[in-house]
Amino acid sequence: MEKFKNNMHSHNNKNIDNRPDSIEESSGFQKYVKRNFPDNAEDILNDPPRRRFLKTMAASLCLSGFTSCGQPPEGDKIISNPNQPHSAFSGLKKQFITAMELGGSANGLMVDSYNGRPIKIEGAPDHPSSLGAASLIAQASLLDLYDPHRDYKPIQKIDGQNIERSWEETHEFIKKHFSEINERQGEGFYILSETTSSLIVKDMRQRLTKAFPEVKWFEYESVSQDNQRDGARLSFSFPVRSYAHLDKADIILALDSDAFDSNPDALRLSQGFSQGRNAGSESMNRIYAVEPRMTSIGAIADHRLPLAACHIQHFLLALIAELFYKQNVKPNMFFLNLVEPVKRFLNHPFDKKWLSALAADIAKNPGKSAIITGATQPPIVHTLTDVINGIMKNDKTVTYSLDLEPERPSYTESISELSGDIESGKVDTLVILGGNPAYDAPVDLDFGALLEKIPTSIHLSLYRNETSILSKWFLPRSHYLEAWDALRAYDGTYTMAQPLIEPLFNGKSASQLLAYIIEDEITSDRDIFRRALKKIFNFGSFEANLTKWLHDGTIPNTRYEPFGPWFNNLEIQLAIEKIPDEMPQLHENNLEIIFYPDSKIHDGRFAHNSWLQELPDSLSIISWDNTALISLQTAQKLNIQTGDIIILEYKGRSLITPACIMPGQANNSIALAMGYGHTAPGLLSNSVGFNANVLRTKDALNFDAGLSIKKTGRKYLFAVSQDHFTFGTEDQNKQNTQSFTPIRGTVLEKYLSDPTIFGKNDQAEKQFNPKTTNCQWGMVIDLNSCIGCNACIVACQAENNIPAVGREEIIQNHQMHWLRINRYFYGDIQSPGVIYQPVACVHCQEAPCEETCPTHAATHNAEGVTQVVYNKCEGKQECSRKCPYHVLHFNHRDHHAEIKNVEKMLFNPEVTVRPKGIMEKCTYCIRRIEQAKIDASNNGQKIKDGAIVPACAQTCPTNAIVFGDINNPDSQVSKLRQNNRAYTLLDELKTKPRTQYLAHLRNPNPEIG
Amino acid sequence: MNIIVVCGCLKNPTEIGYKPHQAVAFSHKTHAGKMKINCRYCHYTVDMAANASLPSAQSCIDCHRVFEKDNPKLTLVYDSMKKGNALVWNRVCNLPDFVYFNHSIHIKNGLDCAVCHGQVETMKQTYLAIEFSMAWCLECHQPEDINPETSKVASSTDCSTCHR
Repeated sequence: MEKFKNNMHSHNNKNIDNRPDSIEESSGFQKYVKRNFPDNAEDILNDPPRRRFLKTMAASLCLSGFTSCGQPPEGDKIISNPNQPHSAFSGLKKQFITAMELGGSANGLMVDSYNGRPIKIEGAPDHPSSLGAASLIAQASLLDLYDPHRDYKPIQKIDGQNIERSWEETHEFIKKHFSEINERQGEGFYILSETTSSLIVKDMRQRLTKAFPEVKWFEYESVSQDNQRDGARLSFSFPVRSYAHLDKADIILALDSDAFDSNPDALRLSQGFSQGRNAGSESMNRIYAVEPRMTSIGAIADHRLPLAACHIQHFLLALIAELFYKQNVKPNMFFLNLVEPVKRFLNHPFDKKWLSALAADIAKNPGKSAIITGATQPPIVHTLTDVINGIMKNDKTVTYSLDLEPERPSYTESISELSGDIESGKVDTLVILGGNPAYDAPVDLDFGALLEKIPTSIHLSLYRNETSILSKWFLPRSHYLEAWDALRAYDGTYTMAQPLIEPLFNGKSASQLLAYIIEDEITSDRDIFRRALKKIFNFGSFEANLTKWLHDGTIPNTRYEPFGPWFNNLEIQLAIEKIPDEMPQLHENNLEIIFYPDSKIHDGRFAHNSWLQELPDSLSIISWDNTALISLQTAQKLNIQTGDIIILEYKGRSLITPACIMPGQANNSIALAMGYGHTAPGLLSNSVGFNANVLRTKDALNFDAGLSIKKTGRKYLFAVSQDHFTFGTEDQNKQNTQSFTPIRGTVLEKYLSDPTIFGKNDQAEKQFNPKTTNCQWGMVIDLNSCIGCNACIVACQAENNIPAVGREEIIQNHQMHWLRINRYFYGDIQSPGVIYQPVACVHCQEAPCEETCPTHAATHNAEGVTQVVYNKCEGKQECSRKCPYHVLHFNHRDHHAEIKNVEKMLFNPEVTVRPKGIMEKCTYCIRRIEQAKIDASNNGQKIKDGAIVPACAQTCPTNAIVFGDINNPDSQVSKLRQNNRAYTLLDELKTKPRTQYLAHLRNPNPEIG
Repeated sequence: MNIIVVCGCLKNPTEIGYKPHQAVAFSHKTHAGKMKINCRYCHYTVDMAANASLPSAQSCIDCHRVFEKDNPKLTLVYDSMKKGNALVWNRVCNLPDFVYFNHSIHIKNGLDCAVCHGQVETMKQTYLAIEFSMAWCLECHQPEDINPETSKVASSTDCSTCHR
């Protein structure tokens, strides 16, 4: 501003040019305008519009004067239906059961529909995989439904020209083209599908094979459970699925585990963990984690050992040897022959104290431990996991079931075979159902170049991605909320998926496309669904059954057959004998590269979703990017700092990416999230992050040694929403802590010997002294249950119409998330523990925001909920400056100003859409409270405990968030407030918050300390 | 008479007497007044949902397939049902977008429609009978402890009750 004034001054002084316009040409003015009016900078700086503005204003004044005496003012319109759909009417939310499939496993969902449009996704309470919770991906997938970046029409590419076609024209082409193929029995006709458990795709596949006997069907998924399958094939001579029951396990050993991340069973596993955690009681479980990069389960583990991915198999062998030889575990008949071969691993390079303490803990708890391994570990590690679970008789904590398709080759074999066939010119027509192989197939196959060789390639996809661009045809696919399907959950239960809305972008489902190809007599999604279902479940009254299944969401008793394990001990012995004594040696010039599916955008298929991109990663707190994660020690040796742009070189391929020092990362292991760095034009994902797939070959899909790093000397700016390296101390309680520590925690032993160690929140009880008989709302968040999965943030965003602001705004600290998850490291920087703390407005009863607001927009209501009344807010931001919790967010821009009509359908109509210049914050989901009050009043009842569940609490897979009436001593939230661990955030400030936290407890093994 | 219609039409949508022109010349005077049809027969969601929904063309025709079936005023309604085009009405009672009013709780607590909508059964062409301002809401909604004499409804006057 000063500069700007000076600039003005100098203009006047020098008297060079005194026209008022000249000010506007000065760079100071331009900067000033761009900084203060980023939305309108262009208009203001282009001078003529400014003057035109005055003219227009004058004209419109005239007009309005004219209008007021000439024409009637325009009122709102209301529309009545020609035919009232049964039981669907305006102004009332309805809930429907449906399901979303990811990687061949379906999760049951409950979708809120308002005036016929889905506006919020929640988990289906009775579904065996979701158990009432929805993953962050499922919740954010709603945004894809209304995404205007989806293409509306089929596109044909002729000589590099993209020509839009109608579905009729496309249908004509399909008819003509495939009747030719039909004449030669389908020779040269290939299908590449993403994996699916869909009953109707299976049915259509059978019909397709009948019509085209020579057709070849391949499946590919870039992220899969194939290693677990292959490991089981070795363990049991049969591919089986394994299910850990963490609620029944006292000791959990997680090896590079994706249990809470990309595992298809993650929601059930998370819930099992929180049920078995029993923080504060003698029976609290204990978690060990051994992993190269910090995973969600590793972050909250009681003991964590960073270990390179390629060393984990030796660690497990050493553990088995320790169990047999040091802990004297008696092997049963299956494992007698393994005792001798593992002896050579007794001499191991790992932390001896750590390993023997772990072995002792496992040996002491036979049948009560669970060993779980992540999908990125090779098959042999999965086999060894099965072996330890077998030795320890963990048949209650880990169970198995038969797999659906034992004959299916692995996805890598599948895509390699297809690539070979394309290379040799056998493929005449390739139909790709979903997926994005040109982006995520192993790079050494060069699938994109092969795709261009195929004479006719057809890609059915939600977005026009890299594969669609290289294909001859792109066909828009229907979203899962627009289509019928019968899917299978991870445990095999048939799960119904029903559409919530007609296809908005004119998309067709995979089964519809197959119906066009085989010239089926029926092509409607619903009819195909009914026909396929009727074929298998044709008993009793089909219509009555179907109505019940659609209502419940599942078909009962359809799980996969359970499998009681017998071990293929001779094969296992041979495999163990083949493992060399020496582990691969890693050093600065021979680093290990690890590829892992991103916790937000998975393998990249959700990269177009702005809600997911904007979420801060739960550990690095970086949004809109992926980075090469590197340990502190390795970074120091290589002289790398966070934000340095480095070149990763591996097997003659290279990738330029920024580095981020990550506490807890194994030395000499570099981890890189997949799913970023897309190149398809016109999509939001374009050039966000760096494409890890360019280093991913078919021999090393998960990790490999042989990486080297070069520095470029350039720096990269991350969009981070919390400072890095926030180290708390391990032991924080009332007595020994300084003031203003946001987290409190200690070890279980100390807590049991002195339960009042956190000062028993007598101050909180004193603070809460209600004079009314009203409901008084409050919330308790258990720090022991939070696994930092971020699902609550997306739930809040969907419920409360919170915009995604974009990378640049996050860098300027303008993020709008009402709820954030603070991540605190504690302990040793090489292998710290993590405490997650979800922080939204804590609803202070002596709120600084209220006291400081000049327009009295910030108030609290009679039930203790503080609120910002949008109509009164003038955007002075005083409240934000005074709030010690930093939970008030200012709309620096009109984020909703330029959205398309189709995006407006996403908004929750019960919550105001805030314009620029307004402060906003968590309201405890006030609209749910008011609705519950209205419902209770209409039914003449009192509000029951648990009737009001805010969006964040509803979706939390570990039930860490509890909300309710603290004026009712019997409510769950009141009981939790009486807990010895309850404390208020920054209670020294005497703001009397309504949200309380339960202090964190750790259950370390005293032998390790 | 014509002059009054035009003036009503010219009023601001928030002013008392705002009487927008409607494509279908529907008369509440005939239906609610003369025929004594209960309001909830057509606006049947009023005691269940936030909105008192408009009747569908189908529900008009349910009666009019027998009565007055050749009346030219019904052409648009028949068209709507047969061709599936929605009927568009000009909204008479409008609240700002930041106000979240719920019909059901008011009806369930025994409030008469006429309190807010006036004597609709006398209106040949529906007009706005009451100016929906916040002050008008607060005429009924006054907390007992503030003004026990005038408080008609012991109800919350917290901002969050209506503004979210």
